[in-house]
Amino acid sequence: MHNGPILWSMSLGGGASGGRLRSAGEGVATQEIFIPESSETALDLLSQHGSDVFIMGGGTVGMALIGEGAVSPPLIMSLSRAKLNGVRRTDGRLEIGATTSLSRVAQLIDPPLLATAARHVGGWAIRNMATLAGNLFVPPPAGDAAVALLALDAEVVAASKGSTRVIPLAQFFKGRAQTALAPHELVVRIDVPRSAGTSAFLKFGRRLMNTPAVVTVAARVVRDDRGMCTDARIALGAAGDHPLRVMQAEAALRGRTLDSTSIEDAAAEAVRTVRPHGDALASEWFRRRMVGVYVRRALHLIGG
Amino acid sequence: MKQLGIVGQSVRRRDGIGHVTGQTQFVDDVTYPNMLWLRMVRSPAARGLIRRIDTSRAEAYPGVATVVTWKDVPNNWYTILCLIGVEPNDEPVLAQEEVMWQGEPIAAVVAETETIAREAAALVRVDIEPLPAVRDVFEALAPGAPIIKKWGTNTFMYEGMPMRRVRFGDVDKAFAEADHIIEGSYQVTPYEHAPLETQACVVKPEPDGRLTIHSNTQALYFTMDNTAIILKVPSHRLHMIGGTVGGGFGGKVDVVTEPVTAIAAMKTGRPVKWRWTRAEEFQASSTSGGWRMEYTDGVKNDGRIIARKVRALHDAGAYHRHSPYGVTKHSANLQGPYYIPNVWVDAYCVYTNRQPASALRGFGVTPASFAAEVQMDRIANTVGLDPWAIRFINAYRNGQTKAIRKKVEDATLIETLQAAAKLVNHPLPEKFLAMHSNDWKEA
Amino acid sequence: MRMVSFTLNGKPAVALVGLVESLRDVLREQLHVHSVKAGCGQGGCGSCTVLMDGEPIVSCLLSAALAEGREITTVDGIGTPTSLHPLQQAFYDNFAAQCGFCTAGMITVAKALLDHNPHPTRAEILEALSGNLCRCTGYLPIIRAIEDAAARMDGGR
Repeated sequence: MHNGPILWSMSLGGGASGGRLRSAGEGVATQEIFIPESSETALDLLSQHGSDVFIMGGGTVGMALIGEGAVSPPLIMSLSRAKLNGVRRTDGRLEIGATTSLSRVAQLIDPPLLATAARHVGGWAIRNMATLAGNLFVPPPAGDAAVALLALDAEVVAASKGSTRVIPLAQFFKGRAQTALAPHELVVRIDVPRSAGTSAFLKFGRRLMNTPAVVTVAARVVRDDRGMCTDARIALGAAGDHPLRVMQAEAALRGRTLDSTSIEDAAAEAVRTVRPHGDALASEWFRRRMVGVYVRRALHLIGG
Repeated sequence: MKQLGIVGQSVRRRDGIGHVTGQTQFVDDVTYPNMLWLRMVRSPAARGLIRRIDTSRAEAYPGVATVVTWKDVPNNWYTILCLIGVEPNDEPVLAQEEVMWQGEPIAAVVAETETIAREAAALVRVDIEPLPAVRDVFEALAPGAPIIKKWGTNTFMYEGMPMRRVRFGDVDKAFAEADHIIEGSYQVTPYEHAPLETQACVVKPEPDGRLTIHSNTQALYFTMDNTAIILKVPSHRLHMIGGTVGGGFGGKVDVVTEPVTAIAAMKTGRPVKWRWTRAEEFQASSTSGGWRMEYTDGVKNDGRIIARKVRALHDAGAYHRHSPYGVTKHSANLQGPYYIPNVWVDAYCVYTNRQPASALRGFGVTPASFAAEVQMDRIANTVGLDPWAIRFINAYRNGQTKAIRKKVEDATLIETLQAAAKLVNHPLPEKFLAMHSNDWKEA
Repeated sequence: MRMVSFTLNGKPAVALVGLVESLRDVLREQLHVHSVKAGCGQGGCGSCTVLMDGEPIVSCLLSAALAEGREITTVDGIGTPTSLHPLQQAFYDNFAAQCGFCTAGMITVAKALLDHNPHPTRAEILEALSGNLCRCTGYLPIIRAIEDAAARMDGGR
């Protein structure tokens, strides 16, 4: 409601352009698009311009925002040609270049959890363009590959001009649209250590394929030869500000066999601790309920 | 039998080759030299008074040719039904004094590129004094609700009454005689047509003073008539070019692109294209209206429905469009293909401060069919009959009178049920197999 | 603005493109390839699908500058009214198009599918097509058309 006559100043014409610079005549705010041909050049540009540069991996999120006028970045950097793609395996450790396409990731035989997750993102054309690292930055409810990476204890290799550091993915997400990256840093690689245990990936959307998620679950359980869970990972997408692990649900499994009771406890913990968003796709209460349903189903799949 | 050339043959689509080679032309594929692009500025408020529209910053933006507002519209009313005498005019082409729904068109920015038009549209300033809005039909009909229509009610007036009425027989007497009173509450949410091709229009002013209008409307002549009325030009001045519609489903029957685009073309003397964005298609284009329907049926133990009372509320959104007509159609179809001797219907066309509703496939009738058929199953459940039986027992026959006082002709429900049962190998009792649509004789 | 050159349906193409102009808009507005449709601008409907070096992409999300040096194929490079590709013939024969707006994108993806996998299962067809929406046909005629085309291209085996 309102209190008396409030003058409502409207600037809604289809673009929240704010007070950004415009180049007269062209009608777009962008002054430059960098397409570096090496990671060194990319980092060099980043060290010069920092957070003034809008970074695009495959462009599947960025180009839509730019096309709608939701963002009008003066400077853009596309990483498509920076030779940051490629997959390498060293002693069972998977090293995946940041701009490796989700299509390529979907072809990986091992670990199956990652390929399965990648296949659930968008459609074929989107997967050909979208990058693995890009999936770390997409707003919820997206981020299916990121959810699998969390369950696999992936590590983010972040580089800036002259230095590199490794950030465990579990510490990468800081909040809604916030990561642990510094302004002059770029994700150059994502490493997936050799993983033990049995995993399962489930995504519940509004269509069978090419759908945003109501909830996404990536679960991995390690059991000893008596069937006792020695370790567990339960990662969720579309269940909060970013892809996340539900530690309390994981703890509920440790030291127990995987049976209806332990699974029920884990699912209940997940439901209790998550704070999902409501959106046009699903309300908050429905997401919360589906977290329980799909954690339960994923763990039953693992339990056999 | 005579050999027929087309009937009985499998005939390929005339436009099939064009479709599979990507050669079929859609409106957005039409382009002219020197063409301008249009972007609409839309209300952010669900309801309010417009205090000021300031287009100066947009007009000054490099690459903007003009901005069109209500001042440029010769006859600023859009009413489809005025052509069949439905009144009063309620929807402006471009908002002038007030806005009635979030998304209502206010000003059209016309520029050299689509991007410039979009950027400049963000510079149009509209000062709106918000007014209390009604968001659903119950809110709109509640005592003390803000009245949002100028004639003093939130409903369309049918012959002086706030609802479309059907009165047939004596429902109260029949309810007293019924063995069961069965109630059902049904609702249908608004649907967005979501055609793959968004609404679009290209208008080119010709040297001879005519306007060439390419439109993906489903209703070309209707569009022409309405556009001529709005522009205050004789219809022979308009050269309408329709053609392939990239999905309509009832969503392209409203005249929402052509008049403003034509005005822009006339103002600038240049071709103008208006192509709706996907966001506009979802948030501003017409949807089907929401419905809330309350059924009360009086039923005998043998399954016959002897009375039906229905209160139906249709959410028309902010303006008429086709809704008053849709509600009438709905009212005529609430009894379904069944004989019910006592019927009372109050069907309301209710206005709310929401996206205006319009036609969508079976407009007004599909919600009625949905409710009526679920109600039949509910009745079957209550009286202990199966869903086939309840329909055979109540199917209307040729010669019987419907609640709208029309005699039934060409009834086929019984024959269709019999054929369907055969198709799925469902055995029917002999008494149902013996029925037919002509087996009723007036006493 | 920058110059971009690439191969379009086997022929050299050059365009002057805006910094963030999409390949879709360059193809449609500058090169007058209207078979590539503007359906959503978000890569969700697939009606702008083209092949880049043989792989499907949604051209509305590709910055045109990134097409530099690449091979772009649209449905126009797959077949023409006087020389239909078996896929196009199959779509035509199986009534796999109604309004026609999704058709070019569907055929483009189907071409890439059959190039990669000449004997797709129905499940593989569904997965390949999942990025292309159709609001008219209910998809079944499209799926049948692709199965039909695969069989025809295989010599009816």
